[in-house]
Amino acid sequence: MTELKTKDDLLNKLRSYTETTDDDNIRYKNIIKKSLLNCPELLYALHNKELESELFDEDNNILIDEETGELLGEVDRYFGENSNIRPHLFIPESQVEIQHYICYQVMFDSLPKYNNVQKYTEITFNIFAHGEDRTDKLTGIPRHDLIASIIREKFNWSNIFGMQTHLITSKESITDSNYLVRTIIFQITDINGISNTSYNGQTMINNYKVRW
Amino acid sequence: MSVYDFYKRAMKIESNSTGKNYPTLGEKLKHNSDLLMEATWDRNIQSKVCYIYDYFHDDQPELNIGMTYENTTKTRIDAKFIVKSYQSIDKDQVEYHLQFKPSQKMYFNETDELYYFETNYRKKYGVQDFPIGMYVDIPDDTGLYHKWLICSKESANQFVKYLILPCDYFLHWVEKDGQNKYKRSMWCVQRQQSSYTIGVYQDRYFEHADNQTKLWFELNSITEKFWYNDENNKTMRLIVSAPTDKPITWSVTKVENSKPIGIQKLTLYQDFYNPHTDYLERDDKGNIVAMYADYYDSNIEPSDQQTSVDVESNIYGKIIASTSTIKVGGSYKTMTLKLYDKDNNDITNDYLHASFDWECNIDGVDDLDLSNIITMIKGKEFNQRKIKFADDRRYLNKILNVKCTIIKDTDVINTDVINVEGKFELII
Repeated sequence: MTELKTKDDLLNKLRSYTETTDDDNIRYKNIIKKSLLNCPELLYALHNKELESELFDEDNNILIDEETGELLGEVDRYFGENSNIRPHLFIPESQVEIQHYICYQVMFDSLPKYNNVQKYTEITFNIFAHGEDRTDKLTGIPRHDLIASIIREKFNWSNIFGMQTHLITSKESITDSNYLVRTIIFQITDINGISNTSYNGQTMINNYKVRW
Repeated sequence: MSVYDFYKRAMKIESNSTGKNYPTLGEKLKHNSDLLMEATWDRNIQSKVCYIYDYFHDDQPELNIGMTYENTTKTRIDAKFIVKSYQSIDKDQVEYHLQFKPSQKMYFNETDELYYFETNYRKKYGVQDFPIGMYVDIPDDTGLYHKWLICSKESANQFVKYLILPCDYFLHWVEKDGQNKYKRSMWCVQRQQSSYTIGVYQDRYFEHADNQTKLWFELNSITEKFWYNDENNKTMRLIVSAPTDKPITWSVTKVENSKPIGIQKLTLYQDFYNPHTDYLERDDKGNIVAMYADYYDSNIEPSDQQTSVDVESNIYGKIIASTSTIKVGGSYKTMTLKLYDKDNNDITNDYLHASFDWECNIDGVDDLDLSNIITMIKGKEFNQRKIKFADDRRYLNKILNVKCTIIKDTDVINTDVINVEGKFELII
């Protein structure tokens, strides 16, 4: 039984969702965030003029720690609920500047037949490239295709989420307001939330246990 | 000279009796008419002693009624207040005419009190006609002064007039400028925006308020920052409402600043009140005295309008970063230390060979060893550090204080002298 006595206990329990295997949605989104923010190719392709100085120095060297491979600029500014990379498909604010977006979602709605211990998780990336900046001039590649390919390279057939990830959909479309879109979906056959990590306790398998 | 000779001289084109040449008879007659206007100015009930100024020369910025003028920074100006149309309840506030003396200067040189209009408005924004965009205080029939905004010009062959509207709303808002947040307030004009709805909009699951309004401001270095989104790319929200417990909140949906240049026009769409971030400031009697949208969107409260720094030691410093936040589990954030003398000159380079001792602590968390949580490395320049905060969400929403002690020779200077400097909110 989880013992929560203080607000901090409650918050710490909720914060653990980003790391425990209990909830894949939150954990996978956190993994995606870290993966995308450590990918200078992707951040370059997002073409945010204000943040480009966080990727390269004046001599066009990538600002990277050569030992750890960590990017040294303020690249976390590319991510957030109002930034280029968002962990949800929701862009409510008025668009008054040319910006490109990557919105990702994690969900599932099907299980393998006769097997409720596993599920088919789908990770969807919606790439929105503004029509006024639709081609990356230095590579000559349409920006939505370029970003999608960088993401494909990072995730397809990788084990970044634990289980192997496969690309199952890659489709183009367009929005009414002049964004070029590519939607790519990765699928993972992973465990259907059968672990349960009690507060300050161990992670256990809970699918054959009776819980009230 | 006989009356007839005088008449002939007065009507003669290109005559030089006054020392001036006029290209047409009409121009000459106009000039005579101007002289008459000047001579008879004070006899007219419409004539008023007014005061003209911009926001920065307003010595009583919180008032729109009952201003007084002892030691004022406003400029006295003679004007006629002309009622050209009458108000109707269902229509928007009608504008009135303001007419200046024919001798009133419209262009100013360095010795004029209103020279700031040339530098800060005509040159900077291209405001074509003085005094578009300026405030003017006009006395009513009881002698009580009211604040008006000069919005437009009514061109004419003679006796040009300006359209004015009463300043009827004192807006409070939070301005974000990089890592700084300031409390702002300014008088503006409310205008109606036609909205042919019942007041709510309903979709499949939700119903929300559906209304529009407009605000007009003087275009200046503060109001030019109004935009659809704030610096964090969040929709800019304002509270425009009577001071009640349920204030009406709006988002900026249209910004127009070129019709005419000199007036900043905002169109607002009704938005949701956010009890977590919006703030109703109350006096000690519980009355609402100010309403700010997104006041608490971070734990660092906005400061009052830019104040000069305490310069007891003749040198002061700031720690400057791109934003006032550090992301937990995020990348390195560059902190730049700047030093200034009492005249606000940047003297950082004078400390090139000094030693810089940087340290951090978290508000409300004492005796914490931060070496496992904070990684600090040298920046590109001698006065920079890069700081990274580990992915430990227990410290979300707390304030990280970044201090730097500079030792040059035997002088020790603490730079964290102003609250806003060196404080960063830990966010995700």
